[in-house]
Amino acid sequence: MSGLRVIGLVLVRELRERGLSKSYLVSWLILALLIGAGFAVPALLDRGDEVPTHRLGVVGQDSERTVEAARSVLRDSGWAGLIEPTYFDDREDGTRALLDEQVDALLVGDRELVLGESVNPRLEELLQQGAVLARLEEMTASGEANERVIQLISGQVLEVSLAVPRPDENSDARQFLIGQAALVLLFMAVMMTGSWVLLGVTEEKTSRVVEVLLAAVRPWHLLAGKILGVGILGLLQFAVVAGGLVVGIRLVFGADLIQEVDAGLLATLLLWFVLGYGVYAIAYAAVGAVTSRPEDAQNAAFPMTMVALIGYLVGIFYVGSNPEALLSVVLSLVPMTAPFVIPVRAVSDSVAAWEQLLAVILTMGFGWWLIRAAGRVYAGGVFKYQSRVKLREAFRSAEF
Amino acid sequence: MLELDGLRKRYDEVVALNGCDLSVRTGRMVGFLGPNGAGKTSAMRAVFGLLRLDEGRVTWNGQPVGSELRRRFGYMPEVRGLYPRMRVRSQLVYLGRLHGLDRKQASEAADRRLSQMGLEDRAESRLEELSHGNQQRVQLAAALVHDPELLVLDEPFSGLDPLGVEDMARILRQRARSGVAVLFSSHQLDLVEDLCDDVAIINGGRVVLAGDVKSLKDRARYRRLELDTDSPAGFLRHISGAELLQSRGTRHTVLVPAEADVHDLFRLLPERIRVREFSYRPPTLSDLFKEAVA
Repeated sequence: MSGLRVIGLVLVRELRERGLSKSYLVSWLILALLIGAGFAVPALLDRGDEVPTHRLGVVGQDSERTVEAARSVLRDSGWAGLIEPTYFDDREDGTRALLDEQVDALLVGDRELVLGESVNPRLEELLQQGAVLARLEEMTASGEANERVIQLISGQVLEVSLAVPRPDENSDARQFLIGQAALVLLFMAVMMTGSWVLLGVTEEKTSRVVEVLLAAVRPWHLLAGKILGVGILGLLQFAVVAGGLVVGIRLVFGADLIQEVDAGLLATLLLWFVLGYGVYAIAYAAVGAVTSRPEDAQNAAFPMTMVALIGYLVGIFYVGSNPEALLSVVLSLVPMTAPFVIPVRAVSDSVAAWEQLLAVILTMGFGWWLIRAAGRVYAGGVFKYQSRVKLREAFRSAEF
Repeated sequence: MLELDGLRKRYDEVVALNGCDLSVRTGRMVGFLGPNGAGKTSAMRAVFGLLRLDEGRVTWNGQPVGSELRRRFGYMPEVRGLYPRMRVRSQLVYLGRLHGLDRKQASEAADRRLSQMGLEDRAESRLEELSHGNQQRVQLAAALVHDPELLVLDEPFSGLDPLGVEDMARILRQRARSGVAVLFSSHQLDLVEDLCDDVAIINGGRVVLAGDVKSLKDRARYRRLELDTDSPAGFLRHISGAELLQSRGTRHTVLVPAEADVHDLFRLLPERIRVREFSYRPPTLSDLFKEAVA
């Protein structure tokens, strides 16, 4: 029987048993609740800050062009808001409604605007610009003014261009936020799935099933199947959470994040999830093999978790704002921190292709060494049933 | 035939195996005996490549045992263990497949073993929901699911009640009769004596006595003489080479040289002593064991 088939069998068992386990299903529920709450709360809080509606009283047919022009100014400006006209037969009815605060302002014909007490100053601005536009259109139509005059009045005399394109500050801010969100997700995904591997190995040791398994399969087949199976489950959650966030942001806030996150960036995030998870899962598997109880396993994994946490904190608080600093470059090449540093730098396009390639090679090389070291530790620790065995002792006494 | 040839294994200052030689023929049931720490578990683990030998080799029908051959073996380790939260049937199917069966074969084999163990109605239970005895049965089913050619069981009877012991013994006998080589360790010497064709006694990491149970007894240098008389044991000193094993009131157990003639023994008894019971037989396995590990 081929090694691949054994790995496949172990992988499928992990998918089936862990994928249908209560803890995994509960983790889905918690994630769904977190994502839901993440969008529901701001949406509820934003309810008081609805799109402003300018209630405009209108008297006379002459006002119509000004109202339409003001609406088009509003559309072109990108400001949030709505002009909602109410038509009155005469000035008297309009004034009464204005005093009763049924409307915010009253436009009489195309010459006069009466403002109410609670009017939004932006409405006056919009109507003034609308009136100018309406008048200019009228003058152009009647031949009183030509295109040159219109250009002159609207201040468009010089054709303006930029020698160096100005950075889109909004886009940069969004990219920064995407980078931070991706890092949080990546860290959570790597730590959560890594801890599943840790507990999975410890459980097999605690339940003593490992001796039955290793009598039939090679240790690295067992480890590879477990790491891949758990990794797929983790990746699934990672992908669904990331997708949920993108869709949720689009639905709730209207921002089209999908346009901001290009395919290359997604591929980078995916690559570093796989590499980060791979490195940490292998290390966690080794730690799981030298402990016999889940609580000891968490303690034994603490130093490694700290390394990941440092990488994450540096990534979120330093690398995001200093993507090209020396420390950021150095940490990009350290296999245990690279998975948390490179994605942040990639989002702001601050990591050169050669640099990323070197980081991938170094991380994969380190992963290869780690597999061999973890395999020895696993082989030396998995049959020692005392509460905790030293890594060095396990490494030295590898039995198979 | 399984052969362990000159196995040596040392853990720092502790010698676990010290030139261990052992054979298990197909269709034979071999009891593997030895005091605690004698090397039984190490020798069994060596069969499955679970420890790195310093010296020696393990062969099956003359072939060095590797990972492919091991899949045709069944193993029940001393420290029992399966997945506690996994359903019993799924567990057996999974282990069957790891031993090379396809999905259909593994499913059929799992059902067959569960039926043999009387656990059909617990097939969909999680292992942790079963009683200790039933968990032990599942463990045996796990070792048998792929119809192994060699069965190695480390203390399979420990923790079982008398009915459980009887069930386990019946199944092992069946497997041996069907041509499987069975090696199991135990401290229950009477049980081993009843059940096994051959025994191997290990001490200090080396097999010190091995062979067919009956031949070993016949070949023993002494016989077991048991007497129930109305006299204390003092008269027994007249028997040349006798070793008083036990004396409780009027019941005495003595080991006498195998060459001693029963008629002569009778003649040595003083006339006035009344003999209520007299038995003269080969030594028990327990006697052989004690002598071998002394």
